[in-house]
This record gives sequence, C-alpha cells and structure tokens, in this order.
Amino acid sequence: MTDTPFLSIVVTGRNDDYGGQFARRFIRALTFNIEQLANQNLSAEILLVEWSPVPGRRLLAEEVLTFLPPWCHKWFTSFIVDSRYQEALSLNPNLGYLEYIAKNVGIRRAKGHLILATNTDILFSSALISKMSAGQLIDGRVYRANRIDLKLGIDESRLHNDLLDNPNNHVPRTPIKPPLYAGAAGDFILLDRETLKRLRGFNEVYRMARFGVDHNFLIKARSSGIPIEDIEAPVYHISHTTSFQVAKHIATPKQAERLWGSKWHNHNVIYDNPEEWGLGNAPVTRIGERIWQIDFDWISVAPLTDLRRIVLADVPELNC
Amino acid sequence: MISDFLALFGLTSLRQLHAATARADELKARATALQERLEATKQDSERWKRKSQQTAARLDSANKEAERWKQKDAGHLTELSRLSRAEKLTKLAREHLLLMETKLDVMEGAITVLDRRTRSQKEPSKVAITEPPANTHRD
Repeated sequence: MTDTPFLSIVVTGRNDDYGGQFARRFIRALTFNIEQLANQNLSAEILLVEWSPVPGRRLLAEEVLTFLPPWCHKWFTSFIVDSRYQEALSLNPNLGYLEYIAKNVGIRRAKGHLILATNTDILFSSALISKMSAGQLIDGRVYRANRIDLKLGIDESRLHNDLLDNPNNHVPRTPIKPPLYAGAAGDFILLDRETLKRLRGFNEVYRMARFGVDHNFLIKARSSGIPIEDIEAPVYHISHTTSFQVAKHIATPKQAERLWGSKWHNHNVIYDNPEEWGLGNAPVTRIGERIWQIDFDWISVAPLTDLRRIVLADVPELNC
Repeated sequence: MISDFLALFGLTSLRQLHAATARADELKARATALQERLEATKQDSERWKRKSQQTAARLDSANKEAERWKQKDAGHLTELSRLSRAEKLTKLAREHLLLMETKLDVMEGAITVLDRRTRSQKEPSKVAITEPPANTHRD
C-alpha cells in the first residue's frame, strides 16, 4: 500500500457486545467491505477508534486481528483511547460513549485522500464501490448515501451482493433529500481529507449527546459553503436491537439518554472546534502490531465550556 | 284694380283678408312652437347644468376617495414593511434564544460534571460549614 491510500474508513466501537455479538458483526462487515474494495483495486485504510475500552475485556482491535483474514491485516489500524477521556470530556454523565469525538480521533490521523466516516455495521454496495472507483468524486463536496436497512434475522454469515441487492431483504425507508441529504448521516459521510480537516471534524464543543451530531456536521458543512450531494449508490445496514431505528421505539427514557443523550438544537447551532480537535495533542504510543494507544494527558482535554465556540448556523436554503 | 280701389278706402278683398288671417295664424302658431322649443331647451339646459354639477360633485368625491385609498395603501405598505421587519427580528431573536439555550445546556452540563467531581473527591469540612464567611467589606 502506498503512503497515501485512496480512502480512509473511520469507525468506532469497543468490545462491549453493543447490539449483541458486536465484534462478530463488525468483523463480517469489515471483511466484506475490504473484499469489495480489493476487487476494484481501491487502496484503503480502516481506522478503528476503540474509545474507552471495557476494563477486563479483550480489546476489540485484538479480536479483529485474530479473526480478520491475514491478507486484510495491512488495511487495518486501531487507536485505543484511554477511558479517562470519556470521563474528562463528557458534559453528560448519563451518556456512555462520545462517538463523534472518537471518530474525530480517527479522522485527525487518517492519511487517505478521501475520508469516510461510517459505522461498524455498514456494508458497501457494489454500486457504491463502482462510484468510488470511477474517479469522478470532486474535492470540496460532502457525499451522502442512502442507507438501506436489511431485515432483522437475515443470514449474515454469508454476505454477498445478491443477498444485499435483493429488495425482499430491505426495510422501506425514506430516501435522503436535498439540501442536506440528512437521515442516518453518521453511516456515511464522505469527503476529501483537506476539506474535512478544514471543517475540523464533528462537533466537540457540545458534548451532551450523540443524537444529531451527524446532522449537525451537515449543517456546519452547508454553513461553510460546502455543497452536499447524494452519491447515488446505497450502503446497507445490518439491523440489530440497538439500531436507532429499532431501539428508539423500545428504549426507556433512561436507556435512550445513555445511548444517545437528549435532543438539542442541532439544526440551528453549530460549532468551531479548537485547533487541537480529535485529541490532536494527546501522546500516542504503539502497543502492538497495528495498534496505537492514545494516552491520557490533561493538556489534550478541551475546557468544559468554551461558549464562544458555539455559533449560529447560516444555511439560507433551510430558512425558506 | 278693384283691390287698389278698395285700398284707397282702407278696405281689402275678402280673399286677401282670409290669406292675411291665415298667415297671421300661421305666424302665431310658429311663435308658439318657438316659445315651446325655447322652453324645452331652457329645461334641457337646466337639466344638463344639474347633471354637470352632480358629475362634478361625484368627481370631487371620487378624487377624495382616491386620495383616501392612496393614503390607506401607503399605510398598508408601511404596515407590511413593519411586519416584515418584525418577522426578521423575531427570527433573529429566536435564533439567539436557541444559541443561548445551547450555551446554557453546556454550562449546566459543566456544572453537573464539576459537582460530581467535587462530591467524589471529599466531604466538605466542618470548618467550612460552621465558620462564618470572611468579611470582605472594606470600611
């Protein structure tokens, strides 16, 4: 692989059995996606940010490297983030996982020309791989994709394109629409590295919720004059019991608060992340083959409040 | 000849008399007709004069009405511009309210976190609770 891969895929997770058999689901999706990319000779790196690992349990990165086919290892890099960052950064003690700061850790360290912020249960369609390999994606634009939910209980053990493309296996879902092409944005945000770094990643100032931070990024991009487009090829989502679309109907308010935090003004208010976003100042130590540790240091912890970094959005087309 | 002879004595022939009488009647009738026409024309003129006055009054009233509507329209335009400005201000105020609410959320979150950290560190000492606060006034 060259020093600058075509694509960096940033995901976050930990070995906590989120949604049941989390590691297994992730490794299946990861293997499938790497195979798809390799078939089209697309160079890519997969950055797993293991945020606040569960004490006493094996690292997810270790699980992945144990079960991922050896030829895929060179694609994979993992950053293990010290648990104290969750404690020090969170502004909502009920919220268990600062997902988007975790993604920022990966985005900050990504080397690819394009960066895709996505989730561990997302599968790339063959149409999407074709779009990405066609060389027609333009820098300075955010690309979004429709997410197609696969029916719960589908046989995930043998993933192949025919199974994914079969409409009988799909759950109907409203397609994404302009101007923001929002809706499950956390599953697919693709843009060139320079633009994403100029935007300084996802919101790190409002650390009260996971809910809506992806949408808030789209608002930030439009407020910064960056066009958003539909890439016109879908991604597939393996449904599980903690998927937002499923769990929002069954979670108790306390569970919902822990999973996603409360609703907030994410359509109206945006952010101006500090220069050190994505734990940019944090010391990094190599702890294994393809595994890096982000060590704790208070110097990397943003102040609890930095109110001047909370600003109004400016998206005229949303005011019509 | 006879007529000339009769004329010497101030007399005329019966035929001439009849002709003169008929002519006098005819002239009298024409005079009456002219009198009637004059009367009718006078009435007509009077009617047109009244009509003209009425039209002038209506025109005047219409002008006044037009002026009133013009003023009313200008009033509406002013009102419309005032409403549009009020709408913009309301939108701006709403946006700032949302901004303030978000900032308050963050402050509340920070205070909650600090409160938890403080409580988890140590119990407040009795001295701090029982001792009166130091006098900060400078007389």
